Amino acid sequence: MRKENHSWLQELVCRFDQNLKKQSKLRQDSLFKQEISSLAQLLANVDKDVLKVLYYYSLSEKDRFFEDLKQIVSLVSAGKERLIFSDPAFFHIYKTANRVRREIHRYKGFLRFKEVKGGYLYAAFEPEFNVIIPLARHFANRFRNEKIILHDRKRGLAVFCHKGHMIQAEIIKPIPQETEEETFFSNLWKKYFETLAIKERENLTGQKRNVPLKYRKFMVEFEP
Amino acid sequence: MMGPLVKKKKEVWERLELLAQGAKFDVSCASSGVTRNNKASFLGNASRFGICHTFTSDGRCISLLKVLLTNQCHNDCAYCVNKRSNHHPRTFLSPEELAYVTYQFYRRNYIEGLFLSSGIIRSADYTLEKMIDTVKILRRKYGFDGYIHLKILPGASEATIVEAIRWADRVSVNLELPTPQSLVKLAPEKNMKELLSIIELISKKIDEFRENPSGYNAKGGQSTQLIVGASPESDLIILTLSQQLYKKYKLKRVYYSAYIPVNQDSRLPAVSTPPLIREHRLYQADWLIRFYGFTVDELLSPDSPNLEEGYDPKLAWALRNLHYFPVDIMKASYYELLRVPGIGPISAKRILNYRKHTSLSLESLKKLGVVIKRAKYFITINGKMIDQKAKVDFLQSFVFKPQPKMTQLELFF
Repeated sequence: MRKENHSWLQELVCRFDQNLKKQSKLRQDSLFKQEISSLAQLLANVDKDVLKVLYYYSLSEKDRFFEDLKQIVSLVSAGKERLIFSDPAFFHIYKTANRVRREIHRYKGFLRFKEVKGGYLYAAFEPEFNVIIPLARHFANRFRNEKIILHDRKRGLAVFCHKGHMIQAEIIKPIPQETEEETFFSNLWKKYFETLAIKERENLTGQKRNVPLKYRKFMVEFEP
Repeated sequence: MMGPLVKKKKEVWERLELLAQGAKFDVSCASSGVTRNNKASFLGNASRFGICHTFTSDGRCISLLKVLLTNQCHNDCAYCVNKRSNHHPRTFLSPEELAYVTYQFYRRNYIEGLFLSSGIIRSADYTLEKMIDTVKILRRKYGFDGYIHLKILPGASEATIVEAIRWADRVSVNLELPTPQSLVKLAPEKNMKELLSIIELISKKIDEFRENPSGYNAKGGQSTQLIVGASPESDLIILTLSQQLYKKYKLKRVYYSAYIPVNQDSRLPAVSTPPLIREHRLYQADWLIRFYGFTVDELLSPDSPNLEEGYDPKLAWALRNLHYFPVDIMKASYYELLRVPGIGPISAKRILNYRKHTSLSLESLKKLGVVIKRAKYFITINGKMIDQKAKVDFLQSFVFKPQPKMTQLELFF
């Protein structure tokens, strides 16, 4: 198995574990008796592309995640993995996973950090799916020496990253004020953004397709 | 460090605005082609697929901070906003200031990196050196490991060009015009032979440094830009040149930029709107050449040297070559599949993969990403046509419909 799968695999198994506990409380008798460790083993043998899809799908927080994962695992253990992409059950998983993947990719570009007093870079957002972990992984790597805070306001989740580490955090106090430099550079950015548009080529439909309105709430250049 | 720049607030705004104005007509925006994970204690990384950070009101993406070192220039190219004979304010940002703004924008996640170009002051060599200084400050002082695209200025010495390659992720020289004649006419200080020799040099150096572990070595390759509609060349001439650039010099991208009149200049054609559809069709044909195994000769000929505006070049090719169809999904090779309108590289690869294990139906083709709406007229599945009648109707609608003509520009001949 490639090394990069490792952290996803852990997350995926962890989610599965949580779900299993939740489910077993609800449905004691029809309990799905898959040992977590053997699931991890099974998943470790799953093709990398399929595993990726399952991982993204888990972030969608769909109600059916638990059942769907069971089904895919049984397909894989029955040796039908090669045909999985044309399997109807897998198709909707794949579609949803793609939407999650797209949201992660977009936030990699659209997330905006604000420098606040105390030397932190703070980014708030309200994603449709639970994508804070893969995003934190991206930014923890990118801004290694910065102290950054990602804040999913929809779910009340926060992650603090510094020196490549990611720590789950809780926002208990109001976010500190912006620094003076922050005001300067965000204004400079807004000005730059307006300047760069070529009026002979105006295409607001294209702009809306590429930056859907739901992302604009937290992007400085779209602030009124 | 912070103090001086913030104190000069208003003035920095004005300068950045002017320098962005001067750079915005360069259409390259890609931040792709390089994967680099962050080494310990550096700022930034690069992602192979590139990341768009926002989109302006013209629908174009901003990925890199696209800016000029200075908008002063001693050249007088007819199409360029910064040409010597234009009377508008001239300014510059020092390498230190530029590096600092880039750093501050990057850590707020506004941008993926820097795209630095410049007008030419004193000499090409002097200006390019200043541009490289900016990159060095970013890389060394700020530990910046993000994406940097440097414009190579024609006329710079080989040593300086090599230095630029060593520090940048991608470099580019803009040809701007596709023939020596048009260059002479519109950009008297430039000449085609020299530009091509720089492109050749860059391509050679990039190859040479490929295995070199130190330096950035323009691993993202080189690109160039051609202006479309400022000179009378046909699409055939433009695409023949592109094909040559891709093959011979291994360019990563040729960008096409619809000509927008920014200057009053008697050397230029009078156009009211930029030829955006033509630009779009050129990009489509460019894709066919790079990823679909088409050659320019198949798409265009001296008798019809321009792409049709009414429909895309692949469909146009298919309609001219009906004898090639239908293609059978279960038997055709990869490149045969790619010729079918509605099938691209991804769906073609999937088809190859899946038909090994299972038989394909119209339904499963849809799931593999084939655009059935288009493809159904051109394919059979195990020898069976999907909808014979629809096919006839569809083809007739093209054969009998008057072909949309390219709008001819008012040219200066």
